[in-house]
Amino acid sequence: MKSITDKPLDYSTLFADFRDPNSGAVVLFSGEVRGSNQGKSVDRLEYEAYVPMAESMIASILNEAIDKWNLNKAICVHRIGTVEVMGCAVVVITASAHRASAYEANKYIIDRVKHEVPIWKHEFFTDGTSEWGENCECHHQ
Amino acid sequence: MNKEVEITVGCFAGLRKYFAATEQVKCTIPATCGEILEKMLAKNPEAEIMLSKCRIAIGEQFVPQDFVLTENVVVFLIPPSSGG
Repeated sequence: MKSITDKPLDYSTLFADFRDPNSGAVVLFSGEVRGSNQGKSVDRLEYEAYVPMAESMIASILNEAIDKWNLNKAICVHRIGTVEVMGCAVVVITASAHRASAYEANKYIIDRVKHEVPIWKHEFFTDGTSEWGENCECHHQ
Repeated sequence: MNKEVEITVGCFAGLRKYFAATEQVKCTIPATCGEILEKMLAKNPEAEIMLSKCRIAIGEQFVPQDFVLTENVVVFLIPPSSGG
């Protein structure tokens, strides 16, 4: 499935695909848009991505996690376009036989996606200002 | 053999405070990605801090600053990620 979408994310539909007799643990993380950041009231976020590169990097991260934690299944779907406050910006779901690996793998995936994948948030505040976010200092390689 | 070419540079996110989504820079190939960054800085010196934080990609792969460009490649400047 595609990992970058401009459509609203529906957790329950995504979660339903994870029911599996081999999976005793399914962990769902949802990154949601907060109503405030750095002391300012947030109106909305607008996400942008370099889509082909983001797709291939997320696929690679998911495959690494599946191998490392012996997961039965893992997905990560990230929004582009406008996401309102309380809206879902990203979902990561991991399924494994036992909970420890599902939790660890889920955190690994979202941490790497946030810090490495070419996706950017543009925060629009209710005072009319806006700012591009930065999760990390990824200097020249 | 040296050759004058125009390289297309793709700019995303916060870089577009300083540049258009695609910019053209003239250079003599063979040239490195680092030289392209210098040309972009010359276009808009106010972008210095943002350019210093960018990674460079060709196609869907990150490349180092000393990567040597060929004709007809598009260089993408990738600001720090802020997904999630």
